[in-house]
Amino acid sequence: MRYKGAAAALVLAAGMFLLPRAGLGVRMLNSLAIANIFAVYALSFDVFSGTTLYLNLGHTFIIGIGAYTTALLWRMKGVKPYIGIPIAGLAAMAVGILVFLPSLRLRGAYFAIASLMYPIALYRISTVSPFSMILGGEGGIPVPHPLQSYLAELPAAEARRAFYTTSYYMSLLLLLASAAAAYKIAYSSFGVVLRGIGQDEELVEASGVNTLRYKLLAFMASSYIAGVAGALHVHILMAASPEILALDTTLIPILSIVVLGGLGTVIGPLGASYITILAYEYLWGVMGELRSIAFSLLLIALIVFKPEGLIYTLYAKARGALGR
Amino acid sequence: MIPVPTLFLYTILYGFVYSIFAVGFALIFGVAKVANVAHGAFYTIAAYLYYVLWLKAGLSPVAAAVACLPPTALTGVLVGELTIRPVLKAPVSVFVTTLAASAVIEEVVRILFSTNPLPVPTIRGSYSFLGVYVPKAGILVVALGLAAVALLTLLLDKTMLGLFIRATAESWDEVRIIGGDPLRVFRVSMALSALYAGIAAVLLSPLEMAITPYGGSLQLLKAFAIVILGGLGSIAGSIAASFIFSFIEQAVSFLFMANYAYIAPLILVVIMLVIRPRGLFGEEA
Amino acid sequence: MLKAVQMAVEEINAQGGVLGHPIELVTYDDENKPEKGTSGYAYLVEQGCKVIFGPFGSHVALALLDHIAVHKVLTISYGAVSDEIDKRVAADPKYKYWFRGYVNATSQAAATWDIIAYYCRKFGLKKVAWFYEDLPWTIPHAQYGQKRAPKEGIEIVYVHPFPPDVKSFVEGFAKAKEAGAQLIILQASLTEDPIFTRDYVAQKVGLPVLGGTTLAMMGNYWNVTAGGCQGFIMIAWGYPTDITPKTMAFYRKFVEKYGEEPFFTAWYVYDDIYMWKAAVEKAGTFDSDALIPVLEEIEYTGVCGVYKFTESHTVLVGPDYIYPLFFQWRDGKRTVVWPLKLVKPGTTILVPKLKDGEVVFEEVPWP
Repeated sequence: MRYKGAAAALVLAAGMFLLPRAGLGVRMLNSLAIANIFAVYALSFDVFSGTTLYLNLGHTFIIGIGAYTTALLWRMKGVKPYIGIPIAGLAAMAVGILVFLPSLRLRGAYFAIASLMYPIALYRISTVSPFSMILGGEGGIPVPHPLQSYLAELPAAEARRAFYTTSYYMSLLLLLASAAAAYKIAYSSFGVVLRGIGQDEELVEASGVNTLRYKLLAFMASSYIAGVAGALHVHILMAASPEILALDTTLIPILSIVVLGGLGTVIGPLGASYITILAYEYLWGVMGELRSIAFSLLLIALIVFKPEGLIYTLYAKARGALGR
Repeated sequence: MIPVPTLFLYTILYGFVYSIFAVGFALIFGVAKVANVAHGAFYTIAAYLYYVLWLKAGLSPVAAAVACLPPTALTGVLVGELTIRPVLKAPVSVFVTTLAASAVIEEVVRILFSTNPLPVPTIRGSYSFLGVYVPKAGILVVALGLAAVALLTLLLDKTMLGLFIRATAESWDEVRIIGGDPLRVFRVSMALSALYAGIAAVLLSPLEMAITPYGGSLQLLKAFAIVILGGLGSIAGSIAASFIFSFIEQAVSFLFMANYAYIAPLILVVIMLVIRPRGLFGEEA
Repeated sequence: MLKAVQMAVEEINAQGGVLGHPIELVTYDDENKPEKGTSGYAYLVEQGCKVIFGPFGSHVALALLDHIAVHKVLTISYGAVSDEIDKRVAADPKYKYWFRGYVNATSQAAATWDIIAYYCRKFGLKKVAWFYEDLPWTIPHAQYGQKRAPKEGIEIVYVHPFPPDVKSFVEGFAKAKEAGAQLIILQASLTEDPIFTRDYVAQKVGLPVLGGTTLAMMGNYWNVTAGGCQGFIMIAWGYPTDITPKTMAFYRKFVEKYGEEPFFTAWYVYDDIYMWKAAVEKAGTFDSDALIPVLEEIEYTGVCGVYKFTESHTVLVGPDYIYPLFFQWRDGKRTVVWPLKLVKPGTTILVPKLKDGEVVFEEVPWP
């Protein structure tokens, strides 16, 4: 079974690699790249919150630290993205631990709302002078595309498409790496402990396990991935602005994806991300301004009727149908 | 030279408005252990209904203020039934559904009224009281605010309903034992919660003198900070924290620069989370 | 803003289109987010748009620059004032497809200071207080003001940044007067005006107020502030007066069609569309590359003034080109007071003064 699963995953990955060759438009490629990034956001959220059920609603804060670390490194020291992005991950991890460690004492919904304070505070602070000047003012901090110099060399006709295909591939690589890591964590003994913490932390503690250590490690993994994703995100967008911290821009899509996909699963966020991001994007052509309302209503309906997660339910059914 | 009386007055003024709003949020948190992120939308609905009834339909400001509250409370019950009750077991889902509900309501308001701020007239003029400039609108707010908070406290402490609410907050099984129906308590709590959000909107409008579709969301962000400061699940804590929050805003504004008042209370809450995560009056988690 | 676009498109099509072709409008709402901006841009290009008007948000535009360079479609913005954009456009020819049919932040600040300097010189004022909304858009104004004030012999004696949810200006006014301010400069973009005017009137501040807020640009400002803005001299980008022969015709038509005044973005996007039409007709083609040199040389008279682009593809700012207006609120009506060439002869302005503890307005001929 294990090998069949791995084979299926490889086929899926190969398919995703070949996607650009299918003659997709640049708008679709751009949307897919964004969908990949959000899938990574959702996966990184799931690694910690999906297992231990400590809902880290401050996830966008971690993402924001990653985003601004690479942007500021570029602005102040000219650090290139391929160095800046991994460092951003480390910064997100470090700041994340420092900031969230004390809150890990809180339980359930208490932790959720408490964690929400961090992105709200940072967003507000970023609008006030003198912080707004450091963080780029109105336009945000401009940053280069990770493959800027490569793209500059290409002839004009190719550069246009290459711009979007390279963004797609980079985000895809990150996605596959994150999915592999998430899978490993989720289905290892480490993951079992994490899920145990989610079910009944006191019981796990009573059996002599140092839950704090597990929570911390999971949080570190989650933050690192999120920080790297945030950094890559702004490099693909080519500007780092405080919007990335905002609830409606980033957190709602992440939570929607996680809930639609199925909390704690790996395949869930992947499918849900593609559907959510692409659906919202293409709804514009169908209903223009009303897409926001339609999308929200649809979201409520889907969650209410399929709380375990639509995508995971479909996936499980598909597996069942295929006799596995 | 800090004008202490003015500082004191504004602290009280805004303290009441904040507490009325925060208490509604804390109530649902206590009763159902979920965060109703649509709480800000109740505020928005009340504010716009108030505006329409008063300035478009021609009711007197008092009549409009009273008339806009029942539909708001009803919205509270609807939101509770459609977006919270079905997913009570999964707090993440509640967060998403209520956030989506809030987005829908704000979008509808935005489409109907645009994002341009709508002016709300206020009772002009002020009293000079012991050398302090007191806006007349402020006196009304304090009086009504005090009444609202007192009413709620009485309700919770002295009535049968209050008993059921407090029991539900302890445990849903417990309330069944004493003969209450937790779902009914939940519905009533949603209505109350929305009602109080509406009262806050009505009280704040003459002070801010303009309503926008996003005013409710902004108030909600403050409410988050307030309930954390006070300690989640504690109504008294939320009220106390509201006044502390208001005081910090005013004090920082007077002592330093007004713009830091925007971020100072949030920084305080973040610091609080580091040294005492359960808040001032919260139970040990 | 969309209304002005629709009006322009309808008018142009009614007159036979551009180069004989009817033009079709395709829209996309970027929700002021860079992500949606880039998706939307790709969408519009995919739909075959020959020219794209927008975006409005500076941070969206900044994120979009490299995408524009890649797609090579002429993009004319009616907003996006960040100077950062101008720097990048001037530095690299690949951004040549970007044009801003509006002014950048620094020139907005400069125009505001033009009238501040004149007013102070006329009345012999040396000390000003600066009240501003503390959000990122005011940063260029701050930087510019600090440099320009000393050159004009003006001292900024008190600075009062306030948050969007400011509750009172009482202590701000008190401190401003303590510091000896003789004029208050006000800048805001959200809903602080009613609170400002409430306290301004109640505290009997009695100092002239000059500046720019978003609410003040709207016709109902007098009602919004319940007359508290009496005597305020505020900025307007696009205003019903004879800036050019076309101005009043546009204004009347818009009001008749939609029953409301055009918002400032509406004026500029209307001009930008017609300016593009003029360029296309001159070049004889819709091709972006061919249009760029035409636009770089163009001098187009619209409803807001005369458009001429600088090296960084932003419009030249000046009384003979694109320039804001300043008007004074007086008993519910607005009187143009700046630029001087648009002031009607015999104009007087109100100057607030404190007399026996009450605020009175002195009428003074202007200029």
